[in-house]
Amino acid sequence: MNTQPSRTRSLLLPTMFGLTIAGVGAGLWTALTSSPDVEQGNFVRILYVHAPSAWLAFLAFGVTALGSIGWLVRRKLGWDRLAEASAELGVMFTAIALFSGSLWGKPVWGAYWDWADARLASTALMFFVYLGYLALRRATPDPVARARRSAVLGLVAVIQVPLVYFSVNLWRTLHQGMTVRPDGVQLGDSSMVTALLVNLAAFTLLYVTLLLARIRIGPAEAAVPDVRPAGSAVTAPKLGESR
Amino acid sequence: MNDGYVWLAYLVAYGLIGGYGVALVGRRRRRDRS
Repeated sequence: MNTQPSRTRSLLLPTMFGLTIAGVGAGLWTALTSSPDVEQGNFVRILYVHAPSAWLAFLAFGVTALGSIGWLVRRKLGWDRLAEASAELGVMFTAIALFSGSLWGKPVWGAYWDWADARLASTALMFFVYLGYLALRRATPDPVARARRSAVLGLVAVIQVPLVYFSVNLWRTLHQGMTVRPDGVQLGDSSMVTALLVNLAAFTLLYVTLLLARIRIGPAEAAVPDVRPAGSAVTAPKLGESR
Repeated sequence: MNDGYVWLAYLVAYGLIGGYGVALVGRRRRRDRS
């Protein structure tokens, strides 16, 4: 009997975990030892958490859309599990991007938040739409109906990703322009560029590892019978019946 | 210059990621037991 695929599968997660720990360690080291910015000083170090989180949110929601297409075309629940796992991670990384961004905004812009800013408002909207995606999944006990409904939402919601990404070019508001551009990385010196690129790679490894771990819970969770949704025991009153 | 903003950003970011990872392990163990 060939046991190669299962052995490869069992080694995949520990290997990815090890690589991720090394990557995150290198990311933290480069982030905390790189040069401070001429104007912002040490506040620029928030960039090495903020930008990779935002990038991962975009990637995660893109993968959710991919899983949604996969389910709609192939009707295999594995695609739905991929979409769900990636959406969960995308929401987490969006939350980190929003929180770190507002902590960066206070000392640099003088405000934690500004609803008039296109990037901030569109990112907040994206966060709440994907929270809604996760809520929709929880509210639908039937796995096939859940997969179908969330696949439609996953495909519609992904339109926000390019909108959020290009919002800094479309509307010139408070948020700075793109840091990584086709003509180069817009940072002070090479140690800052290295810190950003290492952290982008480390966060991508982190995403892949967490995605693999989350997908593996999927089949085990599916085996547990669904708890009936809240309120399902309440029945409609029989109006018009004589007592 | 107040570096507290930088430390808080890192603490919350890595705390959230680490917490999510620990929660995944916990969920896996609970499902395996049931």
